[in-house]
Amino acid sequence: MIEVLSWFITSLAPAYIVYTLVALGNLLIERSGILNIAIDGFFVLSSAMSYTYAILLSQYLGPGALATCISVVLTALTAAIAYSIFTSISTVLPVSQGAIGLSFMFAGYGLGAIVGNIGRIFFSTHRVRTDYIGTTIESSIFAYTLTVAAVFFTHFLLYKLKLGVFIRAVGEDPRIASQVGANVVYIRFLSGLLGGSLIGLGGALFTLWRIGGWSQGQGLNHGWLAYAISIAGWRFPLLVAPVSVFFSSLYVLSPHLQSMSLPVEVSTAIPYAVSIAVMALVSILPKRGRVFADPKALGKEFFREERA
Amino acid sequence: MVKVGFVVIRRTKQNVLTSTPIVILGSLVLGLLISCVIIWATMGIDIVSFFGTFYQTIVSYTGLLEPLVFLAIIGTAITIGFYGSFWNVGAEGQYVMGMLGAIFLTMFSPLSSVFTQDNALLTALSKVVVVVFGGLLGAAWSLIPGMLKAYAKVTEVPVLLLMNYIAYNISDYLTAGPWKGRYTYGYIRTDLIPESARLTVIPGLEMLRYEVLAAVALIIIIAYIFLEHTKLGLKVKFLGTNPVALRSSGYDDRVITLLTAALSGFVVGLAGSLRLLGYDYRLPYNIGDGKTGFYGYTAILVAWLSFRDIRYVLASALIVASLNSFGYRMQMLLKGLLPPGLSAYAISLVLIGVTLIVYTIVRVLKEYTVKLVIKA
Repeated sequence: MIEVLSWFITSLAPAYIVYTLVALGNLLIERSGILNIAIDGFFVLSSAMSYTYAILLSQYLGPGALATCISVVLTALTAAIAYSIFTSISTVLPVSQGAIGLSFMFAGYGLGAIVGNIGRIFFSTHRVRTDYIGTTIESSIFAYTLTVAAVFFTHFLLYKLKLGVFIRAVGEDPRIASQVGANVVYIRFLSGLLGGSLIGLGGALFTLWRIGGWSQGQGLNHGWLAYAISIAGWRFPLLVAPVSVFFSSLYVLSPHLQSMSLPVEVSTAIPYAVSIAVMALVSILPKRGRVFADPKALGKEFFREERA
Repeated sequence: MVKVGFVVIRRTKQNVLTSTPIVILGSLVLGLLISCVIIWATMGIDIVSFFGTFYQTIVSYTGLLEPLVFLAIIGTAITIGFYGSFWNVGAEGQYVMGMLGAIFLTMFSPLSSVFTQDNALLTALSKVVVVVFGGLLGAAWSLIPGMLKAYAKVTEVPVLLLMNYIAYNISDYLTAGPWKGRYTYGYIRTDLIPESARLTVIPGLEMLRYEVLAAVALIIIIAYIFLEHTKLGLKVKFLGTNPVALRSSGYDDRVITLLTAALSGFVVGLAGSLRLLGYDYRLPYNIGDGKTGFYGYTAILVAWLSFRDIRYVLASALIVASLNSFGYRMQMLLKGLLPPGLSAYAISLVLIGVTLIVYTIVRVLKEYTVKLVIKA
């Protein structure tokens, strides 16, 4: 029992917390009707950004918890701003959400490589020492608490606050929501801001805690795993949290499958295959009520001229 | 209190500025300018070096030929998918499947014995079989997300992207395991395919193959005829523009979705097998580490840039091939100015991503006018 608990706290914590935060961010954005195809690009960018922030801040503030914490906050803020731009463009203009999402995804991959390399060059020229977050019992418990708080906050926001009602209404039918007084652009801007900050937070913790460093291409595909968690949890915060345990465990345990004589390529592919299978299974299952159903306006253009 | 808002109105009249070629070229120039600013701000590369390198990329056209032909084929495939609202971002995986099909038939199947015989006709026919088999594997790979979309209503984009990584891993497993070569100087890769199975180099244009050129022409022409002049093509287009009307007409939209996915994957698979027979001749390990040239991803821009119109695919492929080669050219010419660890593809991704964003927005402005409204 103690072994399981210890494994949960130290081994699983970094993966679980990152994926859960990113999945929560995604569900906030998608509940407002924005198809979040850009998620993986933004995750890669956040991951690189946090590393560069940490390097630059360690140079000026000295290595330590302060520089690392400010880097995490700055990454969350930058990702929030970037996401709010993305959700606003997707709403103001009648663009294909798939196309604009893919465009941001590619730009995120490329910018991530550039931004991360800036940090790396600064690191090698100034010999900066950076402190990453260690996986200790204290840090794990703090991060778990933060994640549980994020889960309940997201649930409370979506289902108890007026803003949450508007976010869900806009995701169901933006034209009707607009007629009853919701400012669709503003609501989606806010959901981008909130969801983006959670995705940025996840990206920052991925680099500064789970990995403890940065290399080009870091974070690739992890955004998609979080996306799969979000879909598998029916974009419902209280369901996303337990679903994330399954996916994170799978990801953390997959390298250990090699000890069972499973080729490395097979164990690497397992989380992707399972993600697809779970997404399919969840889509087939009958959903009770609109709470668990996909937002009706997800991925659809919002053409303001057609408003009554 | 001042209220700010936007009013979007559909354009009733088009002018010179909203014509298709101007929109494509304008987006390209604007995308390049924004990328230039990003690269200048982050890496200090000035505008003269930036555009000088771009000019040199276009002038040295021989380097563009190989990406051009593959981007044209895969771009056509993705365009077919776009017509039927099947966002085929999984072309990378289908491309790898095409390569796997080609290596299997030429080296590990009974057909491989044909390539050791001195029979030109039989060899030529076998090459066609190999290429088509690669296409079929691509189609089969694409049908998985197609079926999930049609019957389980699963958004195809994440499924297709995740399947790309599964395809990479299948390829790596086979390359390091059952298909591992014996004559590889210690490298993990397959052996080379027989010389008689390889495609024919065009003298003077070493980056081109006769068979690949013929395939590009045939694929574009057949795709155009299929989409514009056949009943089935019309159904695919209907699926993309008005699926409700398609259903109301009594057609099963799920079957048309499957057809679109299979066709798109088939054409990508053809590109994969042509690539292996004409250029790579073997499968490398770590294939997802840029060894495919990432054409499956880059070709998405070709399809999107071509206004989902087959007639513009070749011109779009040329533009994208230039952008794609630009990153590599920049790394070569501006050595010392760029961060040593920065991959050429990262620069290309910035260019591609920014150009796509600009183009997506400009494209809207072709069809709509956007007015800023400020109310006191």
